[in-house]
Amino acid sequence: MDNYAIKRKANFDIWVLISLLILAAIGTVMVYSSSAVMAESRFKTQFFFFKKQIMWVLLSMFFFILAFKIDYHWYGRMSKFFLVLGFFLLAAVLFLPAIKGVHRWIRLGPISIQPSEIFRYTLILFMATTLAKRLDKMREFKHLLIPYFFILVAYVGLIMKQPDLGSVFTITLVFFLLLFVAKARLKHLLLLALPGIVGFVILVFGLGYEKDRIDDYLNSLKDPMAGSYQVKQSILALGNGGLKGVGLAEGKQKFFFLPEPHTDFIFATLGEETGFIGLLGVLFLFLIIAWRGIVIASQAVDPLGYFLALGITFSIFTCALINIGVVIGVLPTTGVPLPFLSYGGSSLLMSFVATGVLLNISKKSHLKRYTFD
Amino acid sequence: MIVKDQNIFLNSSKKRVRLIFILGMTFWLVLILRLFYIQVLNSGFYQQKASKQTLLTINLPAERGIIYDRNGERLALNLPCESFFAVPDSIRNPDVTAYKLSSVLNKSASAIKQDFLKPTQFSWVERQVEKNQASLIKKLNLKGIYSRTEVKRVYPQDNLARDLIGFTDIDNKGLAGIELAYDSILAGKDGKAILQKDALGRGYELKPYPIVKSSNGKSLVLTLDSQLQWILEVELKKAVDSTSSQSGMGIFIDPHTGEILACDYYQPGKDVPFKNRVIADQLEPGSTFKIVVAAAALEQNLKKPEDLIYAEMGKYKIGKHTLHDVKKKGWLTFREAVVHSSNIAISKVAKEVGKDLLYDYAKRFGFCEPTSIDLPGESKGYISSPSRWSEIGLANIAIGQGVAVTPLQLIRAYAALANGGILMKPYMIKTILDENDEPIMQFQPTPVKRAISQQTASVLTDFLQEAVESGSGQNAKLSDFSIAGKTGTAQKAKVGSRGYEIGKYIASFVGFFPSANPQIVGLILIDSPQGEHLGGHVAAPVFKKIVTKLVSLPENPIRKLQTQKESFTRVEPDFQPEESKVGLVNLVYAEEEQPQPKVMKTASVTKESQVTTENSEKMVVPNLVGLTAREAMAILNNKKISFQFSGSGLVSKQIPKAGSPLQGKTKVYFECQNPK
Repeated sequence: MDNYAIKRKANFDIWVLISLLILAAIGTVMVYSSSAVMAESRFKTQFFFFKKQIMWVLLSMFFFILAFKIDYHWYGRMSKFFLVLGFFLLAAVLFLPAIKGVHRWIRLGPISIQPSEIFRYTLILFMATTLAKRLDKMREFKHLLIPYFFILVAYVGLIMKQPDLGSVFTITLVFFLLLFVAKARLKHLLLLALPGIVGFVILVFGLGYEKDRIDDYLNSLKDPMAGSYQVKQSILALGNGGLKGVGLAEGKQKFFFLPEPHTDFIFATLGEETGFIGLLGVLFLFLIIAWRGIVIASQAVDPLGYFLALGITFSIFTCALINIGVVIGVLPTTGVPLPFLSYGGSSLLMSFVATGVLLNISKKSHLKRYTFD
Repeated sequence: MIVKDQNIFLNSSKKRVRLIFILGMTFWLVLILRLFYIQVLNSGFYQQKASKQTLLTINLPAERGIIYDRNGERLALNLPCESFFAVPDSIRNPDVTAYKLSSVLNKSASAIKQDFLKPTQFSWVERQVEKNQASLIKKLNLKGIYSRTEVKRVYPQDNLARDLIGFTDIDNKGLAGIELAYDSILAGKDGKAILQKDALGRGYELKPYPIVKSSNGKSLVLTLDSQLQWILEVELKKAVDSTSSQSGMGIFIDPHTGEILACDYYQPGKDVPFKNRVIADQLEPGSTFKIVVAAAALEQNLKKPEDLIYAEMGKYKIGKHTLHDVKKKGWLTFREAVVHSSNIAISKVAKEVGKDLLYDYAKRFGFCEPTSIDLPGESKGYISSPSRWSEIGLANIAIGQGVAVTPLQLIRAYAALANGGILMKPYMIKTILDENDEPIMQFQPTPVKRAISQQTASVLTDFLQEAVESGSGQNAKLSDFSIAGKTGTAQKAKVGSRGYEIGKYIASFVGFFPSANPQIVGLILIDSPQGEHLGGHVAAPVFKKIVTKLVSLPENPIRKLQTQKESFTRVEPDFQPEESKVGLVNLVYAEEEQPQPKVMKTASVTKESQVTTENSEKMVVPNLVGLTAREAMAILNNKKISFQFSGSGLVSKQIPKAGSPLQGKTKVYFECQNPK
């Protein structure tokens, strides 16, 4: 009605911010609790990972505020540049020395960057920008093929060299979800997915490369303890936690039983120390982000905001669900970090930045009434 | 228009978003259900599994109690030693490791290697290894082979009284004898520390699990006298071997207290004693049982020592059966009948005594009822009800046939004669000591009942003394000590069927000395000697040899026993004798009456001399022989004497000898050996 009323209204989605902050706080505490023993043993100080995590959280907060301030349309204009940058980093990482046996990180002094985490959002941004301009064209197969499918193939090709199955899985999922909400035909999407499915089948049943993992997984569905070592230890941690948990810092599975207790399996440590109740809380926080993200998207002022908000929401929510699914043994083991909680700079920073963008979209949404109609 | 298209698009797109959200929610719910299943429904199961892998229980073994004889000699003790174990996963080359170990150990390489292939994280290679062997193994420096200090149970007195003391398994758990019967007291209680363990097996101490300290086992002081035991074992073995007998048995007890002083069973070639034959075997006593008849006749005033009985010139028919005597005699006094152990005369007396009274006296002497000794596995013996005795049955029982008794029951009956008529409860455990060797339980002599009057006892003692002086037991006679005793020669009953084994006898002698003031009662049983088979010829000489050796010891147990009598007079038994209190009072009175002061004095003299040696102890080299290496080192360190030693186990030699003066910087050398 009038500018005054507009100004007075909360100008961004407070639910998302609250969830984000709570998750980040839990994450920081849990990174400390789960890594202290290992840090003490490896680096002679139990605060090694904790300090780094705090540094990353502070850095992420800064970029979060920055992202929140910048009008998201600016990213739209820069989307091609960002995509090229993403590809460049993905390619560059392959030429750098391997860390822990994989080409996954670019090391810059004390910090390391994981290009696939950055690429995830450059792809979402690119898709959101382009899809917003082709609302009526997505029901044609050729538009799916060019450029999206080829971008995906290029990405998968690069990332399989690392290799990083977890990223492939989550990014591909978000890719298809975005095309799906862009109203691509289902049969076209299935056709696109076909090479992937065939490749997967050959990989599992033909070459036997990933077969053990799948076998472990199928066994663990029936009996949680029959899975891989990691999943077994993770289930023990969760079970040991019980309803209320053994108490903060009291977990025992992080004593080298649980691999990656502070990164991919931080949810297991959290489950041991805070129990079912704690995990339920975290699951609800992610659900809130998903729900609010979709609300933000549906209230976005333009298709760019709509797709960008959806992409960001899908990315965070699917990553969370897949990470948790792995930890509790309902999905095969792949290395996917838990957004906001897992130790790891790039994932944390990018999740924060993405959420900042999401809140920036929500800030504009009250203008909708005046733009549409 | 564009905006309108956008709206149409968005509305249908939002349906797809809703679909995705519903799918996501479904998966979200699946996750929660699965978490509920793991964390709420089944958390107990996982908690148990988790604690299994994260908790490390470390056993803190308790040290087993020591077994002492009555004089503080150690009969069983513990020595630290090394045990080796393998962690198969960390062995680089099982073949080489096994081969190297086999060169040191007494085991084949293939046997050792098999242990390495077991799917375990821990496997013993060899336990309780000798010290030099242990250092050889350590020198091999093998990866995956580790050692741990364990405690080994040893019996330093060359396995003295092994039957009685028994033994333990390699984990120091009692398997036989006192080690088994008193395992719960000796073993102590292992402590434990529960540590949190990480995946690499490193332990962390956690607050919720405090360390449970181990409480060491209690020590036992036996009533056994190791010197007497030693003599008994040596003489019994000699006797059995020289007569090619099947086996031999001997017991010595203190008649006034019922304390077992020595106790042995010897069978050539026998290996592991699992039962104590002295209390478990049941046998026909033979002539040694005649005192029951004699006591009944005297006590009931049926016979006086000088009453005459016709011994039928060695042959006496009862129904279809005929009794024989070894020495054919005509008229005998009652006294002579006992002294010469006439079967015929005694059976005639038994007829006069009657079935019921004889049965009654057998019971009074404690036959055919448990002695309630503080050891497991005791037999009761057997005597049929008197109503079922035939005439010949009565005669047979009178001379110790057709009745089964345990050696312990037999010696206890004679102890009652020796102490003036009181049946004592025999016992083996004198004191239980706590970890600091402070007594926590002291067992006192327990009178069971009065068997016979003191007068009857002294008359019978007189008879038995004469039996040794001039009767059947002459081979036990000593020049400077008067011994009272009775021989026995029983046909050996068949095992598992009726009748006797032809030509097999159990020769026995039971006696006490000095007869005027008996201090020790002893029983010797020789089973199936070849050649001579009479108790007087086979068993009595063994008794004599033992007594001779015993009294020739510089500090013989008799003197020691007498000095320990003090404690006995202090006893106030709650037992009321059947007839009157008189018997017991008499007994105590008799003790006080005895000419003891002399002995007491010597005891106090030795005590004083000990005190003086203690004062000058700093000046002389202490005695180390018999101590563990560790104890010896502690003593020498304490006295600030420098030393050097070799070997491990117990100190067997030392230079200079104990008691040599310590001058300036005397260095003590000692050598240790592991007891076999």
